[in-house]
Amino acid sequence: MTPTPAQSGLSVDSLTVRFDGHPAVNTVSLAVAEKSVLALVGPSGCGKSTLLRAVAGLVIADEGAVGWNGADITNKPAHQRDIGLMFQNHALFSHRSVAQNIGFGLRMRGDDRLTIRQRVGELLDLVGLVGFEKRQVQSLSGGEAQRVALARAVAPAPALLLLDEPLASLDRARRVELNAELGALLRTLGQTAIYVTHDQHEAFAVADEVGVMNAGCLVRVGTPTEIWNDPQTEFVARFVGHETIIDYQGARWAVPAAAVELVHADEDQDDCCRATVIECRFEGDRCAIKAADAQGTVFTSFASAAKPLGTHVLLRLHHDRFALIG
Amino acid sequence: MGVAASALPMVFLAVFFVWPVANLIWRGLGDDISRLGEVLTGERFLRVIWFTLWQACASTALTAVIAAPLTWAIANRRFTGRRVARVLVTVPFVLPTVVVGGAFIAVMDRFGLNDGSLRLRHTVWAILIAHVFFNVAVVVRTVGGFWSQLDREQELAAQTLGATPWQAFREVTIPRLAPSVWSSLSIVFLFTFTSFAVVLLLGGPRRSTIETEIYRWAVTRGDISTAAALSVVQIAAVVALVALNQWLQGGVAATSSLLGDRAIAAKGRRQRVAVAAAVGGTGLFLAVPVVVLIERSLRLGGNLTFENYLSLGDRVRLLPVSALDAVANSLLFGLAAAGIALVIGGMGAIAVVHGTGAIRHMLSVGLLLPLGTSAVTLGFGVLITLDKGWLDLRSSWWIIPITQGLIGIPFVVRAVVPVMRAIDPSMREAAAVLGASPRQVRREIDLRIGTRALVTGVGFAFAISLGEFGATSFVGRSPDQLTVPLAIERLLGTPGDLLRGQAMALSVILMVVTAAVVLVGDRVHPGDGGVL
Repeated sequence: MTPTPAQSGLSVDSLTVRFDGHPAVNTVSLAVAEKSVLALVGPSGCGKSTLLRAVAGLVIADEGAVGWNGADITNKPAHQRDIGLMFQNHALFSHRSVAQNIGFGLRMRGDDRLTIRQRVGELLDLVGLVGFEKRQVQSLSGGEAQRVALARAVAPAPALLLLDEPLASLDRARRVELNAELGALLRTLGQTAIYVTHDQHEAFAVADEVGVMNAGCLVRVGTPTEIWNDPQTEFVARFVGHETIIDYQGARWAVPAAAVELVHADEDQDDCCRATVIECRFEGDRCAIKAADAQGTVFTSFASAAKPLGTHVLLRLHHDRFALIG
Repeated sequence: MGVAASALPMVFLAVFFVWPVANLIWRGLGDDISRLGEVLTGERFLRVIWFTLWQACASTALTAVIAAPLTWAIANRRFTGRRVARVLVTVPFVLPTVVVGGAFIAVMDRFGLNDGSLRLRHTVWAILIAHVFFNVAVVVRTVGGFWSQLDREQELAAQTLGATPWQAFREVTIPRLAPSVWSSLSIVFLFTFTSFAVVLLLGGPRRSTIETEIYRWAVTRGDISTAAALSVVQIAAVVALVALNQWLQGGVAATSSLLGDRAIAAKGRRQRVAVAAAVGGTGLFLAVPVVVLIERSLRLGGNLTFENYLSLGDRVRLLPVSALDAVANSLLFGLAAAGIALVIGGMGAIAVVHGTGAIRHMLSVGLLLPLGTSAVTLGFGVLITLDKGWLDLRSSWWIIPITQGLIGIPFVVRAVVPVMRAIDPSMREAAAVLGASPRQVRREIDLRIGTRALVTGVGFAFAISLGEFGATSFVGRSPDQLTVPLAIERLLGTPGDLLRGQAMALSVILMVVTAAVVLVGDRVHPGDGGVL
């Protein structure tokens, strides 16, 4: 997993950050190729935000190295790294207007006023806030503030953009919408990025690769499909959304809803198992049904109509769609 | 910038504060140790120390009683003009001490209290009433401000458990308020213990506190050893009081569950009358001296006239320069002192917020020390210390703004530091990842956000410098460096219709300028700029 030194993009090598002797980030190595997006997921407190801050240069790493295009930047101060960060709480400058917020990074590197004004206009256009230049940041809604924060972070066209739970302060509906927009935008810009979130759906939607963290360690890296189909550990399987984990033919498997079929009573039932509906969650165009078999294992499947609790059902398990945990 | 930000304030404090005070203590102990023994045992000095103590106790108790109704009303009831009342009550507190002295002399003239059965002149009552006038704001703003933020839930809980409103007040509210009450009263005690001009002007020749006694021994009699010995006693007492205040203030910070505003509209006739009486009564008490002062400034030979103001340009025999020259001097010194407070206080605030280790700790304490030091000991210390070699400042006019600026620095620091500390750290980090160097972060984030507080603090420093009397009465010895407060004190000390009229006119000018600076400051940066 150790990146080769000459690699393009970001390389993190055995990075450790300790708080009071306790490792918040524990010998993490990872690489992000240029123009690709890595999502870091993990439960809160797993060290993903700390890792992000170490990459940005806002916390000092105790051990290990951070490199960009082969050059060691471990000891560079944050303001010289050319790495942008979009903060969880946005951290907009409350004493400045929208345009002054977005233009801040450009002013810091010495762009002239005209260039800054043009670029701010372009960015507001990009994030869908045309005409917001003079607005005070306190008057913005959550979604607007999030867009301004994004525009501010990408304005200086940083080599690497870090996003720390950028949607955490929004309500659910806005989150789904902006998540999709954000993913499209990062791709349009060809922006190299690390996207931190605790929500696996968000991660899958924006990322080329997903890294799963637990207790300071990076436990699995891969494309969304690889991780879903081959979680390798029970923690990863559960974290990315596998609810049912069973022992089968001497191994452990995750059983996704797609591998569980509800069978009509008149079908051939030889390969089916009997189960009882214990939960039926209405999701609009479908119902998520949880049913327990005789051993108490709970399977999830989808049905077009609701089924009353306690109904006996037949489940057919498609073993070829199981994900091996090992 | 990191090094400069802490180095300059450190050097300034060391040279102009620590050294003079240390030298004063050294002279008090070392010159003639028997003098300190005399001070601590001699009957005359014991009488002075005793009077200082008991008048401070009496002033504090009286302030608490007079301030209580308005404190209750402002904290608990919404009424028209509540915000205005909160701001206006601060005005007496920021008035220069000589102006308050002048106002009470005008009141005594106006209502015939100079002799007869209601004689107030040269009695301790004149001192006590003036001290209450001054310090009502301390109690109303600290206790009232704290009280208005205490949630009602706990009192309501007590009432659901069967407590009467009075029992809930006694069992729940009072214990929660206690830390802020003790803290504000200890500040009032400190102020009245070190009160100088009020005692000098209203107490007459026979009433003397440690503060006025130091002045009389040092300036009138020229006995530096005795004055220094008295200063040691004063410094020891003040250090003890400040330590007590710090200890009491710890309790205020530790109290939790603060809300926005607990005040509710007054319900029923009785409550409305109570609020009106509290606001009106206290308002009348605070307004009368101010109104009488203005009226007296417009009166000469029994007629209403602007003559007192118009004659300020003419030199009267009593003063070395005309009163108008004194106004020009005060403005010049005030601007210079404000500039010093801006530079030293601003850099010091940044060093306190961003610095590390021992230097940060030393500055965070050191920059506030001049606030707790009595003006008389400060001025006296500077006078007897900065008189040698390249630091011989006695003949330079800079000695005045430096001393006054020293007194203004704590106000700048107290206004700015909390604002800078409250800045969300992620805002500085955001600036850093956008390419701002640490220096640019301080300029773009800390200074920008702190600007309003800085302006307010510097405004206070300017106002304080204009009205400063205690320290200036020591360092402003040169005749052509006469300031307005010094001129007022001299004019008040001599009978004569025009002299007194001019004193009142100068007092009104000083009052208007200081009140304006403070009121504007309150609009720019709501709160009190760290005064209280």
